[in-house]
Amino acid sequence: MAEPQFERPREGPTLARLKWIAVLAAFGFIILLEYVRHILFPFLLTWQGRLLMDGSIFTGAIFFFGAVFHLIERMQERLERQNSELIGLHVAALDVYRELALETVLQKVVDQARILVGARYGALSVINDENHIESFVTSGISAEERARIGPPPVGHGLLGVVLHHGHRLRLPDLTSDPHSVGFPPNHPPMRSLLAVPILCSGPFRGNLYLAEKSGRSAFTADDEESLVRFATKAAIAIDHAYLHRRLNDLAVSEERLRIAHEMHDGLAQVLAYVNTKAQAVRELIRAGRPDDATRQLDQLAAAAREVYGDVRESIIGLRSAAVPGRALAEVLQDYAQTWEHQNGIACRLQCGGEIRLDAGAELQVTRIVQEALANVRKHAKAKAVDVEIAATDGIIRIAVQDDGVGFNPAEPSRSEFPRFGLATMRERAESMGGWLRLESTPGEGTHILVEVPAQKPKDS
Amino acid sequence: MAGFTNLAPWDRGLRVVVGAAMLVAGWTGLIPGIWGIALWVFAWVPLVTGLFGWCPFYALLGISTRPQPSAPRDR
Repeated sequence: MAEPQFERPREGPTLARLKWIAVLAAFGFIILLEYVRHILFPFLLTWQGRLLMDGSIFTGAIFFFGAVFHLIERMQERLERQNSELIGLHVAALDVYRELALETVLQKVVDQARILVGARYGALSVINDENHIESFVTSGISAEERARIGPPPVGHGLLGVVLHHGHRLRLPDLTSDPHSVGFPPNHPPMRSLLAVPILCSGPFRGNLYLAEKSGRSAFTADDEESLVRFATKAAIAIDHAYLHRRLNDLAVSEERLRIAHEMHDGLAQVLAYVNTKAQAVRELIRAGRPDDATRQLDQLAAAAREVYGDVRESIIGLRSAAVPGRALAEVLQDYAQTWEHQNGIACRLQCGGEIRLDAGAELQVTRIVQEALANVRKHAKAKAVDVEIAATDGIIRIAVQDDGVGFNPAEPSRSEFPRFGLATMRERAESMGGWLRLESTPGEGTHILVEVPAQKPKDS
Repeated sequence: MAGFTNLAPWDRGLRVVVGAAMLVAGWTGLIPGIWGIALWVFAWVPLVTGLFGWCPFYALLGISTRPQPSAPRDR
């Protein structure tokens, strides 16, 4: 995508013309003066004539400079007004950009638009795929007034002009417009109207309506331009809010998929294993081999204990990550303490640097640490495990080191039923644009290292 | 045009009347000599400013007799 181009405003034609007039007028005036004095009216060479001439020159100069300064003042006024509008626009846009929740963004858009152009009432219509008004966000009227008006408009009257044709609308008196129909009985009286469409690149479609210009009888062309500029910025904020909502939905969807995956890989596999073992035990009992049957039952009990541990761990993990607004370090600290208490394995957690991650990435990091600790519990036979999370140079490093039995990563899985924990951890790291490395040697413990990029700081 | 003018209607009317009187006095020779010529020459100042509703003296000194708009843009 090309970088936006910012053009320096060129010198306007008025100023350029003025410079030429200043130069030519000075020459022309001297020539005219000498012509009048020496050829047309020689009496101007007398002292009375000189006085008259000086008076004329003075008056002419006053007219000329008066005109020049008048133009400069008008240009200055225009610049000041534009500057004031840009500041207002900037403040309004900043306020809108701070929000990510769609409903809040829409409310802020209509509130700020109303303040920006100085309107008493404001509204924002959200249009659905059938080109009907789906919802109507208002500003400048109380909840009681809104309730008295009744259901939201359908867009048959003036609202429909912007709704169906996507045109801007600026009316000094909407009551005299032929499209002005369908106002409910308790609708506040309105005369001046300004409406512009909000053109988003995302799925949102809507229009901004402002009514009753404060302190004036009608909205000006400058108001219209300001509102159009604001609508462009509002469209970006609304697109962001939509994307944010979609990301949240995706995160929830991914988490559901992950839980389903884990249930399939863990619980379902173990239940299938239990079924097989139960059949084997039945056959062994029938065959009169109780010792073999007892051995099979011991294996069955071990598998049940393992799944029980997994399920408990998953519940703790889901609970610990389910509280919004908690810092990652706090979530992991709580989890590590509970995990240590449940499993009797010392867990030391260290967090260093400013860990800057968005909510989705924080959840992924939490899950990676939980999965790594689950592996320690199940396989490592460790006495202690160190978890270290550090942020340096825009990278978040997560290291999990245990003092357990270790294993040879090149050998196939030691478990009797398939395990996908490591693959899931790797997938999580890669989904954040990072990577995972596992180092282990029999008798020397296991070291898991994950690196993911930190979230870029926001410009304030 | 509203942003251009700085003279109230009464001011404009007065200038036109005074300018016309000066012109008549200078033109008809009611006031003789150099003063008559001066009146005739300078009569256009009040006349033109009155007709256009804009006075350069007022503009330079920041004066306006025209009533100001009721309220500025509120923010």
